[in-house]
Amino acid sequence: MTSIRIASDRALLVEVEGTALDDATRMCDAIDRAAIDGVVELVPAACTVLVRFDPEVVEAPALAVALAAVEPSPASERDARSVVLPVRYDGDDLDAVANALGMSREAVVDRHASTTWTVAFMGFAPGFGYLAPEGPWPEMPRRATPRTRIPAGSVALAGTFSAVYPRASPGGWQLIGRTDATLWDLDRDPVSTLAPGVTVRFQPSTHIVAAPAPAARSAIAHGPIEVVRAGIQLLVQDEGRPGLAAMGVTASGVADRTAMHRANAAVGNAQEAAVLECLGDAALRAHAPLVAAVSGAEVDMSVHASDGQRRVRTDEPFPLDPGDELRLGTTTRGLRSVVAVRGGIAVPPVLGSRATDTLAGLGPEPLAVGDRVPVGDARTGRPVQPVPPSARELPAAGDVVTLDVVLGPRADWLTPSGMTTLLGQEWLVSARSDRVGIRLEGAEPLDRVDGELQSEGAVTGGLQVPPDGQPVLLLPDRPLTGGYPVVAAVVDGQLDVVGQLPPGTRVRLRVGEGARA
Amino acid sequence: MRVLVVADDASTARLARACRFEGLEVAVGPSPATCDAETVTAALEAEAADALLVHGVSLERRLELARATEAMPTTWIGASASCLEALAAPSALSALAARAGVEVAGAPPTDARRIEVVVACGGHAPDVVLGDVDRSARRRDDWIVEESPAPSLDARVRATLHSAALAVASGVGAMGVASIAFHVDAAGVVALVAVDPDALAGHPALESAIGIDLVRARLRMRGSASTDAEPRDERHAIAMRIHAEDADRGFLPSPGAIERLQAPGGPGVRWDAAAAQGDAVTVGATGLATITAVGGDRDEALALVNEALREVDVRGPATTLPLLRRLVGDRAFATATHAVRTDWVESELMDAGEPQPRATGDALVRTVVEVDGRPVTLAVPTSLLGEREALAAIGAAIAAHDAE
Repeated sequence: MTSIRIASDRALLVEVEGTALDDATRMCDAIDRAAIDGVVELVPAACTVLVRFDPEVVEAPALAVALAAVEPSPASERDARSVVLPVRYDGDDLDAVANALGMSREAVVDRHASTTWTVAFMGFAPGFGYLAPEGPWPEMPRRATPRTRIPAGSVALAGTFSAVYPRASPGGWQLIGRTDATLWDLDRDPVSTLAPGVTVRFQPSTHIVAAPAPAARSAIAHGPIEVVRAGIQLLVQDEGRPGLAAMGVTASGVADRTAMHRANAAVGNAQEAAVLECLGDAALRAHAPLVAAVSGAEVDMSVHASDGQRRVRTDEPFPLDPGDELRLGTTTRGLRSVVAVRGGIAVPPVLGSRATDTLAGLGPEPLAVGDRVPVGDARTGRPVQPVPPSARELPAAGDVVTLDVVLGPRADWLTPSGMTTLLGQEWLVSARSDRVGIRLEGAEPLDRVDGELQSEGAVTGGLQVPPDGQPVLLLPDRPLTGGYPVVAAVVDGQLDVVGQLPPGTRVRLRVGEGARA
Repeated sequence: MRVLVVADDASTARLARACRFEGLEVAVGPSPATCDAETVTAALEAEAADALLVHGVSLERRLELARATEAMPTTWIGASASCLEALAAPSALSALAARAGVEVAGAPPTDARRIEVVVACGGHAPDVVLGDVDRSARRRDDWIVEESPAPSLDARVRATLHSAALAVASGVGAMGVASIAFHVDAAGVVALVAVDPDALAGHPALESAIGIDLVRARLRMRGSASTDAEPRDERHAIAMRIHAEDADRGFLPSPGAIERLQAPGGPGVRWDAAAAQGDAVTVGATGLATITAVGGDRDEALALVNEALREVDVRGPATTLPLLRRLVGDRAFATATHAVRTDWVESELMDAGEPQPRATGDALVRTVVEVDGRPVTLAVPTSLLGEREALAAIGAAIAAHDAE
């Protein structure tokens, strides 16, 4: 028996009511095989499958009916590979784990190494698999305080899952050992060792001395755009990496898609060509003749050249000659500027995209002073578009912005008074915001039900409610799955505005027409 | 008769000349950007004009003006309101194409030529095809090269185009000089693209090839006089538009002052200026001039236009001259097989050369303001200043003028 919840105006959440750990993965297989028109991406998790869809192809009610008719596959028919990972069992938490389980260190190691594990789903980070044990396994609580840095290759336990950290990251799992196996390698096929369905056995070893070296991210050194000032954050962005949930990869991508499309149209690029996304007062110097355009935030900007200074206006293409410097100044409305250059930003793509995913660490490093950014072939076949489309009105600090939301999938985790608070009060966009999420602050915290939710697929625009009741509005670099209940999601058509909310803006949430479940 | 002319600056000069040749007085009306019925009616009264000639104005606006003049003693020199109304209907093109027995053009095909057929439609005399022009060399879906007659066109295709154009013109009830645009694909299939029932000042190559001034021909058709627009010559002409744009930066406009604008000369070369030395190029107005070369055959026209392009000298803004010089020497254009298609300029020629240095001089925009009832011209540098500063500078200049 399954139930289907609304996750956003472009996603449904299929909740699988079963006890076996592979119920959700078997359901995910079955939905995949049903090949329902309009389904864009499936994100399986512990007990759920998030189904993202294209509303121009299929409407939510019709999709829900189709999904309700899907029966889970009798057995998972996914990736049948099995891998053996050598482990040196010397983790910092091994004694704590042994104590908690009332076992000796040796017994813990023996049990971990003699169990066959299966990747139930991917999440948290690229290449990170949630490994479910075959047979019963004792529940292991997470550490009370997460570590800020866990080395790559760490083998860990939490709940009834085991996992290997593919790269160094913060985390709250209990560390029992380490492996030198490389679980994530962009130059290998498959990139990710783990994928849903893969079985894993751990082989005790004493030879491991070093964690796998992180793959070097390519230097940005020879292009015609020199970063003179990087502002607060200067990133390469494009449409991101949708459809890679099976590798544990979030879509990421530009925060304001309309700005990217406008800037690219102005310089005559394909609308999805890679651009620079700037937060703050970046400055860029040209080392070749270029054509550029800036869209997005309302910024005081100009080109400084040897013969003087020229004003630049939003959405209008302009020339840059060698030595010219484009300087972005004070932002008066919106938050992020998008700089397109004719030919597109040409850093090497990673998994089909040039975007930097700041949380997952995919794509180029954030750009720094002195970087020389490469540009693609200017022979785009499209002329520039000199006359800009009509201007957009973006929010400024102090403005009140009304955002349309769809309730769900976990709106029932709010008490009736919590729901009144959500839709009734103004929420302040705090300065503690980045490309992962915007921390909203309200006078009254949201009153929510206590409890632990199993990790489940999340959407950009989702409003996640941690126990303190101050919600986080998820942005493109959000985690693939999350463990806090998402009670509502901003509609897709307003995500560009969400990407342009400066700190100090106030937000009102409104349930859009026909958006209630 | 006194004619109020509503057109951009360059076309106004051309239309006014034709009016004077036909013995008509001329008054210059409001700009095409601000020519709603109210403004134009006021201008007709203020100028004591009894005829109206508009050019470069949208179909909707022309329809509005044609209707407004119906209730006035003013002579409307242009397609009738009923003709414009028929063209404004959403299914107008498909109905006309069906009548003419051709396809309707969908998305711009990449392997097509664009050929326009110009038809003189009189009241009593039978409609007559004045000629055809090839406008396949385009940027931003606007022609940069016009050639008449269309080179290396299959005789059967030409016959199809001409008879389809006559059918379309009569189907829409055109009265005057109409231009009917078609796409012709690689297989010779003809599709209707657009209908302009008032093709006035926009066909320099055709005019040179057939020896007729289309504006004068149109003016002689007032009332229901016979067309008197039989082609006189059978020559070959090539027209090229020069823009202040850098074709090697995606046709990026190059705003700034025109420091020098030297026209070519000699027999067989016509120069229609759209700007003058000292003017400022703005993003919305990059046209500099059109060169039209006419010869006894295509080779002669090519040689003349080649030499004319060599003689032109523009200083200040970047221009499309480097692209036009490449174009005229390119095999696809210059050889008898003539392989130019609508996407050719943007896919093959654009960005194939070195970008020009961007204009270095400061752009001056001349603004006329009224001070104590007298017009005062102010030159304001815009590239150095934002709009707000420009307005402040205008304010300061007025204050200085007042103080004198």
